[in-house]
Amino acid sequence: MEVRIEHLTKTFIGKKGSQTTAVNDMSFVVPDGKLVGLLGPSGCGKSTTLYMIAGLHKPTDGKIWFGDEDVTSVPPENRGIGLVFQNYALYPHFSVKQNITFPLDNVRFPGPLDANKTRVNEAKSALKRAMKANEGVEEAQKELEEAQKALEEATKALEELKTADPKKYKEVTKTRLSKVEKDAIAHKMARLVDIEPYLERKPRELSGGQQQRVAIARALAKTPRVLLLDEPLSNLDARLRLQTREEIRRIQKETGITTIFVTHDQEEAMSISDVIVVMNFGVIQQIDAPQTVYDEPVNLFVAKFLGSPAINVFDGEIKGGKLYIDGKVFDTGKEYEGEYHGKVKKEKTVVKGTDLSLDDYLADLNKHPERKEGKNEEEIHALENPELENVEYEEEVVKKDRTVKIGIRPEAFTIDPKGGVPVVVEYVQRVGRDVSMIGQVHGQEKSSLKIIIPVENWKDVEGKDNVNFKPKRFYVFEESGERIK
Amino acid sequence: MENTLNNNPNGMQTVDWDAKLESLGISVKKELRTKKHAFIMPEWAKGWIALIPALIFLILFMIYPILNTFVMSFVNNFYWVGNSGSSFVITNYIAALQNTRSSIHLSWGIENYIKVLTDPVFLRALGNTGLIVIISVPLTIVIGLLLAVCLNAIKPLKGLYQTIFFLPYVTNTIALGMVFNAMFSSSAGSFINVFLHMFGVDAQHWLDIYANRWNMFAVIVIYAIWNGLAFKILVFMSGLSAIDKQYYDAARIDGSSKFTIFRKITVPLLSPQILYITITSFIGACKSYSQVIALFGSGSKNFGGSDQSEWITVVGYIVKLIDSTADSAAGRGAAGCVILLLIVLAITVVQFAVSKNRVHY
Repeated sequence: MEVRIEHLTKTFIGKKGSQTTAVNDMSFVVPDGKLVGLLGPSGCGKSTTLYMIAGLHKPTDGKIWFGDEDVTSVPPENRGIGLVFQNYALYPHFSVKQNITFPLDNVRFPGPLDANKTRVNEAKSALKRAMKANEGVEEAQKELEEAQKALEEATKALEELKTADPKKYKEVTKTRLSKVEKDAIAHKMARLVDIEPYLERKPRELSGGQQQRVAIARALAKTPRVLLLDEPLSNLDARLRLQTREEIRRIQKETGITTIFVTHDQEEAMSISDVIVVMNFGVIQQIDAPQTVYDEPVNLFVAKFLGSPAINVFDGEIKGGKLYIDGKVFDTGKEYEGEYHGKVKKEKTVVKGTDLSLDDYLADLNKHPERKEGKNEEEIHALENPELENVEYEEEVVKKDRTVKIGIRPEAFTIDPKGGVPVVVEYVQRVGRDVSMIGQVHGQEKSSLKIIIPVENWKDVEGKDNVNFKPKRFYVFEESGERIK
Repeated sequence: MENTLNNNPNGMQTVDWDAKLESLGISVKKELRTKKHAFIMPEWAKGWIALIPALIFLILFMIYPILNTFVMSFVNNFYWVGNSGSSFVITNYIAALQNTRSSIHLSWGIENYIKVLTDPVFLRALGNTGLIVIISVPLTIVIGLLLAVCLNAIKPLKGLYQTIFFLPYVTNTIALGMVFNAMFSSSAGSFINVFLHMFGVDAQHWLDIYANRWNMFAVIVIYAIWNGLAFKILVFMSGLSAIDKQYYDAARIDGSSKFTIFRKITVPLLSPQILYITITSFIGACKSYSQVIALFGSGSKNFGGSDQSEWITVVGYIVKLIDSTADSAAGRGAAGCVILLLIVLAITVVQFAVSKNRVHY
């Protein structure tokens, strides 16, 4: 089942009427049978998005499609989804088996005569409408008669079947799953997630990882069209996390169910998703295959969010179409020649409740002496010494020469005496098969670099204070975060 | 003094306070240290000291009276202990046990129990109490649970409703009884009679001496339920708020109906509170007394009806005996207490046993 999200927006209204937009005009498509990770920091709206897909939250705007069906206003129980909660939400008073079969208790099959009955009812209401409008009464009457006849025939046939083939009759008239069937499904699901020996236990008698698998089994019991996982691994310890995420991948592959899962752990998202959707502040930053998101981040946020240790960011400068670090040309290219059009966030001090600076305000006050009329000394004093506040505003800028951010991943450094990144070494250590190094770019006290190089290069860095590096790969971003190169 | 004075670059002389203070024996650096206690009291001693005030009152007002009741119930002629009637003074005990006073002839035995158990008034009291328990306890739990679930579900005016439902809890039982007495007055113009008249029901005698036994019982049960509701709602609501909302979300996704969710999720997850409320309200109903006398008014020994004991309860029976000056009345009262205790104890044990597999902590 393909899941399509179109212009999805969710605005929460707080107690005092304040509005928070958790998800802002979001659109993406989850291809059939794929596993998609919604990745972002806490509070970026990824769980809200998941709950909207589940139907537990109502979108403020936008549409959700499951295949060709618009499910935006369909209640959660009719969407055909399975949801695994962050803390599993396993019913503590049920055994594992009861937990898995609980969703099945509510499964109803349509009765054998339902279709015919609906037809009769529809014909009846059509006749009423026709009589009211005094139009096509005869046809409606004919349809009703036919429908009633069909219902009668079906009822008769069913009666005949009852005596002729009681077994078949029982099967046809069945409206819910029998206990045996439910048990069979429970065993099948338990086998799938590898918890069959624990079916009779209570959830609290299981480990975190086992509970997680029960939660997945429960979500899968009704063979959902879409499986949703909310931070499925965040409650597990590191080792179990590794194990369980592979398990999730395996189960997803085996069942082929379209799966969407939410996580704030980039490693988790990278390791199991087919596609990653990176979100921040309710807005999609990038949608791509995991390796693409890592190799080709569209902006500084994505570059910083993916990768562990995080990408190194330090200041550079574009001057006359060239990129400089510490006053030396670092890179040239067409990318640096264009102008930068954008907005820069700035802060200014204004008089509270107005948009005027203090000087403008006082000048304005002097122009309008009538404001002071009829006021006592205290009030005049208050007028002349207004409260001030700092506000943020955006300024449109067009620049050619400007400072930029340069991002280099820790593993992208190679030692090169002629390299463009002069590093002051603060700390260097051998860790397993790597050499890990912390330093600063020469001349930039704020920059803190983390560099990982192969252990063969230990000799080149051991005991040195300054090492020149050449990046194998680097990214250049505007101050606002957009990628230049 | 040379070593405490430094020449700074400006040529000014400054005092090196650190060195100066140190030389005078004042410590400059403050080191973190925990205070050492000379005497360390063992944990158990601390526990006992903290318990003493409560223990004194417990022994004085709980343990001694309980023991006293046991002893009294086995003395056939307790009235004669001491010189001042049914006395509780300890010296009388010693005297009685030692049989030192010539006027006292203590006779031990189970005569009191036999007398009480064959007393038709006691049997009636037992039956009345049983009826009140059987009818009011399940009703009050079911109604309390439903109201708590409803209150928990609403958002606007939740606080106001909670306050309204909690009012009976903070109001005096006797005052409430007087209000009920007025509402259920037998005159045709009383609140309830006027209300019933709207449905074509004739004016009823509710609580006066002409009243039908079951009319009285209806008022008692309504009063008992309403009076006990507040506390139960409070306990259930606190239990409900502790249930993780995700269970409900999960159940909703599974397509469970509201009733299924209530039956299969809310009730089991609330079972510790339900057990607690069942046991406390059962014990409370077994001790019914104030509700009845509050309703019928005119004194602490009026239980309705022409003989003033139509709806007498076990506790009411005991109160009547203890106030009485008849032969060995106090001893019989004590026997009544012990019988009540045994009944309550037995049923509570059964309740715990039955609930063992039904309560999910």
